[in-house]
Amino acid sequence: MIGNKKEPVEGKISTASMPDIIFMLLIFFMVSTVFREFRGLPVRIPSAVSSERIDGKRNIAHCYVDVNDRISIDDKLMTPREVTSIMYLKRMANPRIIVSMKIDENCKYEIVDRVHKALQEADARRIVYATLTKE
Amino acid sequence: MLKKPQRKLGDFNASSMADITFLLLVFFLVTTTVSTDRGILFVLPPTADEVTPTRVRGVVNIFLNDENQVLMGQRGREEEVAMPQIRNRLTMLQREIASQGDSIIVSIKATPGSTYRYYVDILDQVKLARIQRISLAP
Repeated sequence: MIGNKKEPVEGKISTASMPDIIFMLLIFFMVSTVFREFRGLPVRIPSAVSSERIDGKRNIAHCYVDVNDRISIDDKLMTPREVTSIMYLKRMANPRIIVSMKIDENCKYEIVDRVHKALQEADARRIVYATLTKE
Repeated sequence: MLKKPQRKLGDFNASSMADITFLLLVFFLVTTTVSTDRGILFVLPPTADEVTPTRVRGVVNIFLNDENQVLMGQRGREEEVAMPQIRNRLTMLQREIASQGDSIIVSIKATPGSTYRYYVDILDQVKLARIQRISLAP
């Protein structure tokens, strides 16, 4: 014997479990995806230092107010009175609702106050002033 | 021979399963939006007719006028301050009020003609001063 010649080992990765892994990822994304249902209005939101991250996408209702004092919820323009009724329904459906106020930074406080009053009447009092982060 | 012919089980080709799931995965990956909701949390007071009269001691008023100037202080002692100074002023007032045995309540009042940006600036400063009790004056 002159020495054993080693036979080259053929390396193979089993791809049998690949679909399982992909399935797992798929299910994760399917569960965590919340579709964006509406586009809102073009607004420039103000920035603040103390802005914090708001968790729980499913509990957030978006309310847009632009410079021309138009109020939009779910892509429908509405009056403050309509805001009260729609927010009341939303709060009934989900008591943990948080209203994210996307208000243009150049809006007058008058319209902000009107939205406040509408939300107070609907008893949807947990709100977030959407801001960008400064510094 | 009475032997029944053996039935062949149908084979199912699962090799394209991975492709299909990949396709779905890519779809959900693309449509998922990363949460970008940031902002200042605030709880509005109950409606005006439900509000019970509160104490006056320990209340710091902050006023914002149509020219976006800020006036702040305890009742009767309000003075004009610049926006970036609100935070320090509040910390000072907080200490002063605490020494009298009260807790601070900040009441913000903005006139209808003031600009939302400055209102948010005030709220930002109040939040930075770590004040828990904030109210909106009607």
